[in-house]
Amino acid sequence: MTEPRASARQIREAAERVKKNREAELALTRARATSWAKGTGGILATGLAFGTIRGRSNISELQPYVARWVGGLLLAAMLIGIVAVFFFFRAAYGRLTPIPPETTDHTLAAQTMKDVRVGLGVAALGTTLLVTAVGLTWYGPSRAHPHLVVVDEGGTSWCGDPIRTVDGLLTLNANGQEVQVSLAEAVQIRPVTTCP
Amino acid sequence: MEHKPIQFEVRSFDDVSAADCSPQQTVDGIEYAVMCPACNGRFTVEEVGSIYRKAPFAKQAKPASGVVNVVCECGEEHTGRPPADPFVGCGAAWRIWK
Repeated sequence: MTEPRASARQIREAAERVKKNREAELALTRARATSWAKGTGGILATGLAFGTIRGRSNISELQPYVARWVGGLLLAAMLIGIVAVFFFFRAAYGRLTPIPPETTDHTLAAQTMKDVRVGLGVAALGTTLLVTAVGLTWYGPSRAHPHLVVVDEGGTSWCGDPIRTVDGLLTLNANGQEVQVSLAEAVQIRPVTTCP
Repeated sequence: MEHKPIQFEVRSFDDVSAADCSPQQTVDGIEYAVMCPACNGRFTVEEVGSIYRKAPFAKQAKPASGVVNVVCECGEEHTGRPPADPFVGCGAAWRIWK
C-alpha cells in the first residue's frame, strides 16, 4: 500500500469498465464466434466453388494410386470440415449439454473462445488437406499411357509412344526422340505398359 | 458491525490488503470478501483472471496493476443514490492491493 490513494472517480471508472466487460462478455464472444464461423465458412465455400477439381476427368488422368490418395484426402477434408463446423456451431450457439447451475458467464465465454480456436485449427487442417488434394491433381504423376514395342526383321525392338503412321512408317516417341519404323519390316507389334 | 444506512456519497477510502479480504479461489478467479469502510455493508468481489474483450486470441489480463477496484455494492438502498448508478451501494470506493 505504497501508492497514494486513488480518487473515487478513478476507482469507479475502472470498476465500471470491469463490470460492463463481464456483463457483455458472453454475448460478445458468441457474436464473435458467429462472425468467425461465417467468415471461415465463406472462405472455404469460395475455395470449393472455385476449386480446381472439376470431377472425374481430373482424377482419371492421374496414376491410380494418386487418384486414390486424392479421393482419400478429399474425404478426410470433408470429414474434418464437418468437425470444424461442429466446433464453430458449438461456439456460436452453445454446447449441447446441460449447463451446470454454478456455471458462470465467464466460464461459458472462455469455452466459446476455446471452441472458436479449436474450430479454426481444425478448419486449417481441413484446408491443408484440400489444398494437398488439389496440388496432387495438378502436379501428381499422370496415368501411364500404353507403349508399343515393334520388332523388325533384324530382331531389333523399338519401344515408344506411337505418334503417327505415314506411308507405312510408324513414328514412335522413344525417350523424347522420334524413331521411324517400317511396318512392312515389322515382325511383331505388341502393347506394353512400360518401355525397358 | 451492522450496516449503516448513510447518505449516498461518492468518495474514496484507503486501500486494503488482499490478505485481509479472505481471498477464495473460484472457477473464474479469486473472490474477496469485503466490508465497506463507509456503511459496513458486506459483499464479495470477484476478480477474474482474464476477460475476452479485444482480439479473440488476446485474453485481456485485468490485474495489470495488481489492484482490484471496488465500489460499494452492499445491495442496500442509500438515500441520494442516482437511479442510473450501476453500483447498488453507498458510493464508497477503495482498492484491494495484492
